Amino acid sequence: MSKCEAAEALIVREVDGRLADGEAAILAEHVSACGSCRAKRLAGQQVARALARRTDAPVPAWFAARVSARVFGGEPQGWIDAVNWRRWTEWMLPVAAALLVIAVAVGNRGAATTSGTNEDAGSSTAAASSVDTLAWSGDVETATGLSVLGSEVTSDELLARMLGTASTETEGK
Amino acid sequence: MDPDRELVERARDGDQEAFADLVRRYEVRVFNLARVSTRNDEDAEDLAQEIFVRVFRGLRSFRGDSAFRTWLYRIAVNATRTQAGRPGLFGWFRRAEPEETDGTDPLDTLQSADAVEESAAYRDAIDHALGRLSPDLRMAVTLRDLEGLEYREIADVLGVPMGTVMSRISRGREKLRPILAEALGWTTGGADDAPERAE
Repeated sequence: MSKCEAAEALIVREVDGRLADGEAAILAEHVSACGSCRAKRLAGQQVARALARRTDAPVPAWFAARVSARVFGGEPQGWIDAVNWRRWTEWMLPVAAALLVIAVAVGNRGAATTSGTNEDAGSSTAAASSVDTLAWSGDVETATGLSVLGSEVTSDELLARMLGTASTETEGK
Repeated sequence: MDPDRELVERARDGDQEAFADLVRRYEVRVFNLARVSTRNDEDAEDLAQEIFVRVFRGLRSFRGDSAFRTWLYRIAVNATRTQAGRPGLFGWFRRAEPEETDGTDPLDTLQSADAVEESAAYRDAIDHALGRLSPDLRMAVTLRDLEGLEYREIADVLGVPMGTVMSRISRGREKLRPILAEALGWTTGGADDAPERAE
């Protein structure tokens, strides 16, 4: 072991105030003649003082309670876990991703259906317009008969049949 | 005699309150050890929780050959080695942030230690500086200068000879010096440039 290697441990202990009297004299003699060890000692002193001034980070509230909940299982301790927004968000991420995939799939399917039935959509719009006209013109009976247009069970066939009826009745009047 | 012995035995027998007391007794130390490795509070909490979960699971195999504190630190150090490289979901976002924003290192935001020594910014600067060290050097310096462990206990925790501990502390401090000098605006006096910590 070289003198510098031996001095390294002495420097650490000197910085920490753990040096015996006899060792202090030996180290002082070596350091006075060794620039490298002198620099090492200065660095050690400066860094140790700087680190000693670091204050502890405060432990998050309810930390011990959350550890207990994890260790002993069972129900989460009241709202302690509920307010852990970060864990909440992480848990919800897969759900959000799944919903996004579903939304995209449904959107694509809807777009395909819409493009295939543009003509039907046009006639439906015309039908709805006819119903509005009848209702506002005071023809309550006809308008009531066409109220099926607003129902959830409206089909293309039913729609066509009702439109035909409405047109006939309107013309008759 | 190990001051934690009674609590440890009760916790081992399933006493939840005894285990909670152990957690409260060491939560500051474990959380800060974790924070040095993760460099943010959120991941540090996850890691600290994981450490205590491992402690509880290992209680039955803890024979008391060493002090509970030494054993706990050993688990903590092992956990930081395995977990620190695996940031949580938010860790990945945070890790990408500095490079994607202005590219500045948190250390660069500190021009002087005068006004911020007691602040979280000073703590962040120290933790980021420690983060630049290799894991071995970082842990040796952390256990000595932040956790206040004696050399023998550090050797027991890390499972290395005393000489290795002394060497790692020495080299770690030496490497930290220029990093802290740049971050804290040291001139010649190093840490003496900063005011003393208010107790």
